[in-house]
Amino acid sequence: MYVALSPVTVPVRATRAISPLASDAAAAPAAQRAPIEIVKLSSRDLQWLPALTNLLIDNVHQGATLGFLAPLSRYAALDYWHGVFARLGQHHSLWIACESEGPGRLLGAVQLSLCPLANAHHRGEVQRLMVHAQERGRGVASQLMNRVECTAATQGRYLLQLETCADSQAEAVFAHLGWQRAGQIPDHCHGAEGQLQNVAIYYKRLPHLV
Amino acid sequence: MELSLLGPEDRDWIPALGELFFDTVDGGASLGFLADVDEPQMREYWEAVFDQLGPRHRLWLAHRDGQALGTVQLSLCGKPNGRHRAEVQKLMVHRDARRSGLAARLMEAAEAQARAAGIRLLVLDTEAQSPAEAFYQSQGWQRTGEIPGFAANPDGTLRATALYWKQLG
Repeated sequence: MYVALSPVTVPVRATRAISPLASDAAAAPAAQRAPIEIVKLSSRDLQWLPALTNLLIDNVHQGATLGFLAPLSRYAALDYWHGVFARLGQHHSLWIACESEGPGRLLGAVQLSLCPLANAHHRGEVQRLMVHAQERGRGVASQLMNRVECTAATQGRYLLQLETCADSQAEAVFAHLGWQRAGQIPDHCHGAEGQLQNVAIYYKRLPHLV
Repeated sequence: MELSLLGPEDRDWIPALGELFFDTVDGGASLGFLADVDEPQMREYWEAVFDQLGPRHRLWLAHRDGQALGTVQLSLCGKPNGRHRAEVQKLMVHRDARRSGLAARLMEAAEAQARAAGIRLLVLDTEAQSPAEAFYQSQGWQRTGEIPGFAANPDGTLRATALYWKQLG
């Protein structure tokens, strides 16, 4: 398990202590879990890099098709996140979900890319939604998606699209959140074990707010 | 008519490609731009394409007597789990050169290069209900669905995009 390799916690603020045993909290009943906070990161928030690296490795090793093959090295995962942080700005955003109490454990992340084309200023793409495997079922994905959709709508981006592995648990999540399935493409990407998988293409129309 | 695979050193073709670009936009295909697209934006677009050219991004030009008649691009997926797929982009045929089989020749060139690079899946998207749809279907492409209100026409009207794929045997 990746959790044995390195701590999954980072301090949200410098004043917060890092608990080396914080991953034990994942086993706590939902009622005892800390509230979830959604935070938009900037290119200066590099303190989250180790936790994001663990999140990506966790998801890839759990079989998520995030563009990578398993096993994913820490170097490759870190390199990927450095690239994301370098892109953050007007057209690319990154949100994380973390616990708002205690050490502020990272629970999940999602990205929004705004289409720069002159004929598509109403469009954005949701990319690489990830939730730690042991944190599923507590609404992390819904909260992340909700924040992304609100932000997109307030920026006049009222058409969102995304791709996800066909027949995956994620499909049920997106359908539940009101996304429409446009179609699917066979053998589109390699799964964690290298087998080819179909991709499903989704879109969602948001209210015109701008 | 000659069909050339262009490289980053072939930027002398940009004025001719620009003429083809404006003819395509005038013909109602947005290519990502609106009708007010100007010369500097056009040049910036092609310069960016030439900057990308290499083994992972290919550009073909069909030309005669220095005039650009048609073009297409092939972009290989850079993701570790998508090395077997590529996207066909920006197929354009000058309105004066249509109905001559040029689009099919451009697509054949792109597919042959894709096969040679080990590509097994091609994808593209195109404006739904446009004449291009019938063309792609005649070339063996499969339509999986569409996204409504996806992109604006040069006149600003939002149109659906149709999603296509083709497996290379």
